[in-house]
Amino acid sequence: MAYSEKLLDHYNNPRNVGSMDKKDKSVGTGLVGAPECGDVMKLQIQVEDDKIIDAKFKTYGCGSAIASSSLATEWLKGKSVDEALKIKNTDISTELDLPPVKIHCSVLAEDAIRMALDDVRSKQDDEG
Amino acid sequence: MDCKSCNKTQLTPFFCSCCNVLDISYESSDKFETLGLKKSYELDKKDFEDRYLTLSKVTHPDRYQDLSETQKTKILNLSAQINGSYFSLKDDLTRAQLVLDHLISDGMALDKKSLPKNFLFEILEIREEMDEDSTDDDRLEEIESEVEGLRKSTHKEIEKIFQELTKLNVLDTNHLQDVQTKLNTISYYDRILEQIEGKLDD
Repeated sequence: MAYSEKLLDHYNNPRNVGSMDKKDKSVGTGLVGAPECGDVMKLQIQVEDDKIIDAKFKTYGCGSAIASSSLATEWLKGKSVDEALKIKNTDISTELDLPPVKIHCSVLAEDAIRMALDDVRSKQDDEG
Repeated sequence: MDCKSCNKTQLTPFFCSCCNVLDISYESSDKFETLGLKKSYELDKKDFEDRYLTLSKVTHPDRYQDLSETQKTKILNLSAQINGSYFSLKDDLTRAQLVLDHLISDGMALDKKSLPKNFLFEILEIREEMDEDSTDDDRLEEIESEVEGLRKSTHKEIEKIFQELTKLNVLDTNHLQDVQTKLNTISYYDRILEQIEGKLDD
């Protein structure tokens, strides 16, 4: 199977690998898994004044899952929370030209983004 | 299903062991039906093996050398279908999932993606430790046996729930959701074990 250059680039040089303190009020964590293959994806964002100032990920899975989450963190940085909510799995799969059997990897990334955004929102709501 | 010629119950929908009538055009994605079994987790191992043996014999391509090419292809397909059904149903966890899939397609509302609370965090912790430089082969082997233990106990728990359901003779959604949740953890354990194997081989 031939993979796109963009995908290989993200796979070979993943951006923003790492972790943030998930207890930090400004940090939102999304942790999702793919029961089909046992992959795990963690995506974290740091939000200040409704803007995503940093994003990190850690993915244990196939190349497409790593590339999807790497691309997602790149896109998230600098966006507002509302803009971030608009990122769709199809944007990711189109950008990386994912083969049909790997579409679920981009779905995983979208789920992780949403979960991270929900998490940070609920934390900040709690603060009042 | 009764045989049209002898009126006895057929071994499977496409074969009567009594009068040896075989319908080579049979096609079904239902693995239980293919082997003439009811859709349940419980399996009479002896009967199961006997069925497979009988059906493998009657569909063995060597017995059909004189047939036309189209018919030979049909026999080959049927034989592959029998094999596929046998190997899927032989595996306890695959069989459990197939039972649930049938119930879901019959309208039972089960969440196919559910996982135990905090499960993914636990998996992530294990995966992180596996990748740390300080984790040597001895530690990897320890993790391996821990995860194997978790997989085994999950398997046992699933078996226990099915036994309970058989005893009660009900299809209780809560119990079955519990089975689905436990089944969903298996691929994560398998993935870890696969990765550890790879690391230990390096």
